[in-house]
Amino acid sequence: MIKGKFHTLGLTLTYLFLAAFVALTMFPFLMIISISFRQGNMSLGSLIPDPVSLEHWKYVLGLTADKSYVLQWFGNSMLVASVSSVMILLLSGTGAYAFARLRFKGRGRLLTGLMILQMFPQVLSLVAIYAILNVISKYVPALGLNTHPGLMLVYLGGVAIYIWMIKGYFDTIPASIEESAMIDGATTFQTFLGILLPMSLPIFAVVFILSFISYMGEYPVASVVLTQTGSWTLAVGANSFLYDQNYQWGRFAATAVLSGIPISMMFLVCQKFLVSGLTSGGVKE
Amino acid sequence: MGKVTLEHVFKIYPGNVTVVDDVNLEIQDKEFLVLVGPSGCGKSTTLRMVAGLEEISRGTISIDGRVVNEVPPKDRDIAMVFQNYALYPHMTVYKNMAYGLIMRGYPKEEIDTRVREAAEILGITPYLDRKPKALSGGQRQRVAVGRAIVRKPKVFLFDEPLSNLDAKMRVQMRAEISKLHKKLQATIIYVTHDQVEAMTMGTRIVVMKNGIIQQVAAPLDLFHNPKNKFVAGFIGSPPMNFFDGRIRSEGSQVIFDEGVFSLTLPDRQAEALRAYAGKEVVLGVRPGDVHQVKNAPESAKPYKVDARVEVVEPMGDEVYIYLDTGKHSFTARSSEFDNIKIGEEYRACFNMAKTHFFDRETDATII
Repeated sequence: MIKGKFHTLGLTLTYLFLAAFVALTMFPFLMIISISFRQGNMSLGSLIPDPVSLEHWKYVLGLTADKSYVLQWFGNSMLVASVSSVMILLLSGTGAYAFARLRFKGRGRLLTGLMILQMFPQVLSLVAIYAILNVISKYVPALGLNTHPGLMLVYLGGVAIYIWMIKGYFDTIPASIEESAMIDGATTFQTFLGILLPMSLPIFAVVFILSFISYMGEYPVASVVLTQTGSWTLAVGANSFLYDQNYQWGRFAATAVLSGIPISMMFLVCQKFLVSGLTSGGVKE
Repeated sequence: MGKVTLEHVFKIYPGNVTVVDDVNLEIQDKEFLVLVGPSGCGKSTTLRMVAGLEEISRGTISIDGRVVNEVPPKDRDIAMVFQNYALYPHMTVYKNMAYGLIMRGYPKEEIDTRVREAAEILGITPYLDRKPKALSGGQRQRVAVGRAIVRKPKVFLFDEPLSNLDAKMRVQMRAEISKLHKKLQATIIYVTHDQVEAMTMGTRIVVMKNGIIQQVAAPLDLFHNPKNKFVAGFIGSPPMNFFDGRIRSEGSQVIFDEGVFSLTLPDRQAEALRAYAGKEVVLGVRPGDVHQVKNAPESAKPYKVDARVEVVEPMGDEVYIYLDTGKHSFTARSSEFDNIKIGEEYRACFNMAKTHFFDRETDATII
């Protein structure tokens, strides 16, 4: 390839821009790790802590005399995020199938309706959510305020965006494959389970990861629904370290880093499903 | 047995769009029936109605005397091969072929025997453990065919199965499907837009246009006795040449007047066209019936047409010559290459015995 006069200059500028961009994303992450190993509760300081202190981590992991709820919160978060994500998969997968493949009255309007509803942040309905859960508490206490199932119930309301994502993927799979299965003698449900589902693993992996990440870090709804210290999730708990007059940056940072670990793990596990080309070869485009 | 009957079958989509318009067909057992027509002519929809993938708006479809209008695809005892193969990408070739039998609860040994037998017939035994991704287009289409034949259905439905293959593979698979038909002794309904496929494979051809059946006939019958201008133009390659003109009667002679040239018709055609005197008709001449004057058979010599050579396409053993009378462009197919130069005069002779005349208004064949 013939390179122009300004090629080197252009390349340098590009790299500079990219380096700045990487720094911008990496810096906060490194900062939070650094703070979690720093002595005391200083939010400012050098990136490499001196001296390195494990006091916050010891507290977070419950190795100090101070009563620490962090591990319990961690368990709560894991439970809520994974159960909600599994439920989301079930609901959005079947829902998306209906929207993508079945023809029924009002299908288009329902889809648009879901989209529009999704544009309002869930935070806007906090008061309503509180009121609803309050009523539910009276009849089914296990699903009401201050319970994890109650929180999960609210989280399942966020299913619309995932329905859209999965439907988009289903739309790319030619209907002839399912028609073929129908002629082969499979029922609609068998076709969904045996043909469509295995072909859609990548999108299901994506949806699972995305919903897991968002529920691991979700704060506003969880802070309203969960009122007792012991039932808090990590995000709510971490925030409790930041009192008005006493910002416990160290503990906050250690908790934040801790919550990132299962997300990273989840990503590594799901990565093998994210391979593209699961559907290739079945049909000729 | 696999006899399929369509009686007054309609497919009407919401908004009163009729894509299949009063189709009546009787497909005999062991017949290889080809539905052919341009895209959007309703041939695929007709096939999909037979398969049960598309609801029938009106009329009845029966297989072996049993009305199947309300019978789901799996209970119709049919198998279908799709244009895009529609293989299950996450299953091996073996599993792809076995799936229909597994769903029907066949015993394992039976499934194994049938799959291996089909694989042997189609020459895909070495690939049984592969996924479709690792196969070439031709091999994938073979798997799709194999998936159909393991079921041993009454009727095979093919929906443009060769359209996605390259030209060479298409010719090969064409012959293989024909062979398969003889071997399996089954009823086949085959949809294609390619008239060559239709002519070479079908025992009977159904030509469709705008959802309406134009003609049902054996391949050569269709070629020699087209019922209307559409069928005449659709079957045959290169397509038939059409000349708009007027019929004139001068004494006992009947003359076709194109404007630039005129032809005194032979007796047989004169008789049929005398009634059209003063009316407009369309003359149809197949490219093979256009000869250069010096090579023309005696019978064609009186029907001379002067034209100019526009394009010459040598095909190897023959040549297509694109000519222009000044009013109409037309094509000649010839095996004589010498001395044809672009822009030069070309005196053509029409083999009138094989030409057709069509009514200008109705497009129906006059003779």
